[in-house]
This record gives sequence, C-alpha cells and structure tokens, in this order.
Amino acid sequence: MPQSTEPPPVGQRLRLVRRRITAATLATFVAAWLAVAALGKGGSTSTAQTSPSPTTATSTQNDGGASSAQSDDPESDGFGPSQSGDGSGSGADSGSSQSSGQQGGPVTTGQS
Amino acid sequence: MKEHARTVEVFGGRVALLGAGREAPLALAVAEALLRRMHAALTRFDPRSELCRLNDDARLTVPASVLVRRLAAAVPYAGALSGGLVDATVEPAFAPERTAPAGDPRPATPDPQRRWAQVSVDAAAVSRPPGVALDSGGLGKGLAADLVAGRLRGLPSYAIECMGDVRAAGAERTLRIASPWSDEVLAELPLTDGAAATSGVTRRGWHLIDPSTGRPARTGIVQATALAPTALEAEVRAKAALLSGPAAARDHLPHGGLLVLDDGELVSV
Repeated sequence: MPQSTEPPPVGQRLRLVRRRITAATLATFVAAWLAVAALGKGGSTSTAQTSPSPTTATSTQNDGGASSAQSDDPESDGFGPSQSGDGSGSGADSGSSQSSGQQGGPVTTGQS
Repeated sequence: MKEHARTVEVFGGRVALLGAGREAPLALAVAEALLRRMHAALTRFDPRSELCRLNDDARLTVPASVLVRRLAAAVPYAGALSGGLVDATVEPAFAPERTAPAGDPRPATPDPQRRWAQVSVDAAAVSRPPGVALDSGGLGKGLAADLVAGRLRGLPSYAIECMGDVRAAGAERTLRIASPWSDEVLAELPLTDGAAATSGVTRRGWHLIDPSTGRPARTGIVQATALAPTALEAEVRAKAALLSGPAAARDHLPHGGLLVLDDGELVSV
C-alpha cells in the first residue's frame, strides 16, 4: 500500500497536539499524586497504637499555651520574626490545643 | 488513636516526633526538614553555620535569617525571665568538669554587665555588641520543640521530645521524668497541653554556668524539671531553678516542677 508523504491537515495536527497536552497534564497529575502518597508513607515513620499508662504524681500543670500563634506569619517558611521581640512567640498553638480526651504515647524529659 | 512516630538525629542527639491523624506522616516529614534546617543554621560546632558566622561578625547589626533571629530574640527573653541567671551570651571557655566544683554549694548570681539585654532583633537583622557571642545550647532545644509544634498543630494530637525538652498537645499523656543517675524513671506526671524541660549536672558534667563568675555552678540542686506552656519557657525555668539553688528554686517554677537535691532528696513544686 503506498504511503502518503504529505503532512497531515491542520485540523488533524491540532487534534494531535491537544491530545498530547491532555496526556501530559494527566501524567503530571498522576506523578504528583504518587509523589505525595510516597512521601506520606516514606522515611522512618512508623505507627504505634498507644496505650494508657499509669500516672502516679501530682496535678496537671498545663495552661494551654500562652504564646502567639503563627498562622498569620507572612514569611514563606512559616516561622516569621518574633512578634513580640521577647522570644516567647515561638510556636505556641493555643488555638488548636484542645484536649480530645484521647490517650497519647508517653514522653520523657531528662538531662540531654 | 494511632500515632505515627519519627526520629531525627540533630543537635548532637535524637529528636522524637509523635503525631496522630491521616496527615501525620506528611506533617512529621515537614517537621524533620525543619529540624534539619535549624541544625544547619544554629549549630555551634560548624564554623559555616549562620550562627557561627554571626558570632564572628564584627558589625553591630547583622542581617539574619528568621531562625537566627528567633534564637537571638530568645536571648533577652531568657535573661529577663530568669532575672539574668540564664545568660545565653556567656560562652563557656572550658570543657564541662566531671567533678563537682570545690567549695560549699551557693546560688548562682547574674552577671552585672547584663549583656543579654543588649541583644535585639528587628524584621531582618540581629543587633548585639560586637564580640558578644550567642549560645544556641539549651535555648535552641526549647525553640526547636516550639517551632516544630507550630508545624504539627493541625494534627489531632502531637508530641515532641527534643533531648530533654518536651512539647505536647491534643491527648492525655504520661510525662516521665528521668533519674539524674540512671535510666530509671524518677516520677510520672500527667501532661495534656504544655511543655516540660529538665536541666542537670550529672550526665554531661558541671556545664551550667554561674553568669557572675563564668565558672560551673554548684548550687545544691543536681537536676531541675520545669513545666510551662512552651518548651522555651520550660527550658529557661528549669535552668533558672537549678542555678538559683534550693531556697529560691520555687520562685522560678510557677507552673510546677521537680527538683533533685545534692543528697538525692526530691522536692515537688
């Protein structure tokens, strides 16, 4: 069967280009989705079911955080400058620190 | 509820991160990246770090990143909160001593020069008298825990263990206080939303400095644990309590804490 050496008509070329753009967009989306999924499950992250631990000592000494929140921080890395200049505005999150009544894993404080 | 865990080796030690919720794995990964950036910027043991370059800079005012500005802002905060006992401008010119300093225990006292009060921060730079070096030691740990908490605050619950400094929210937990002499747990407290920090002289030697002498302090307290709303405040209060000695330590622990005296006696505040 003889093959035509003429270029495809303009309409056909436009359809081809449109199809390629669509395919590239879809591929980018899928790749991004896979990357986020892989990152979320990667690294040294592990999961653990925490269990209640007995407590023996005195009263809870929490006051729910007293420093300023950072959600309005204009800096791109999210830390921003100290808002009060006294160093106390470092990451407190009184707005989101409601107790859920759930049991979390134990934590330890000691000399480093 | 299931909690995800992640550990990060930074600041010459190990930071443990806990977080619950579907978004926890990604949030913990972001927190790890933040910790590594903090380490690179604030370490005192790499002359290329931004903090070392700041300390070597002869200018009065030096442009600085937000991380270094946060640390610098913590210096006058710590000085004011502790009455000058926690002075992050005092740079120890010696290695920690393994044996107790000679003489009877006595409270540490502030340096009358108050160099910490001469450190200031604006929107883009750090100002301090040239030659005054900033020490990221204890303040850096508390600051790191608080900044990471800011990253994890969208999770239902989280906790950060940053080499003795703890910050947690969203779930009822057990806070274990380690013994100054062994790996045993000395006491347990309930902790829901807040922070804790411990300072002591039995693990790393006598490295806590009396600001007025520049020498290791021996005050009659070998370990102090402080509770506070933020890890930075807890860190400052723990150090201040230890440095002030048994008679005045309570004044530095308004949110509570635990003291271990020279003779092993426990004092709950």
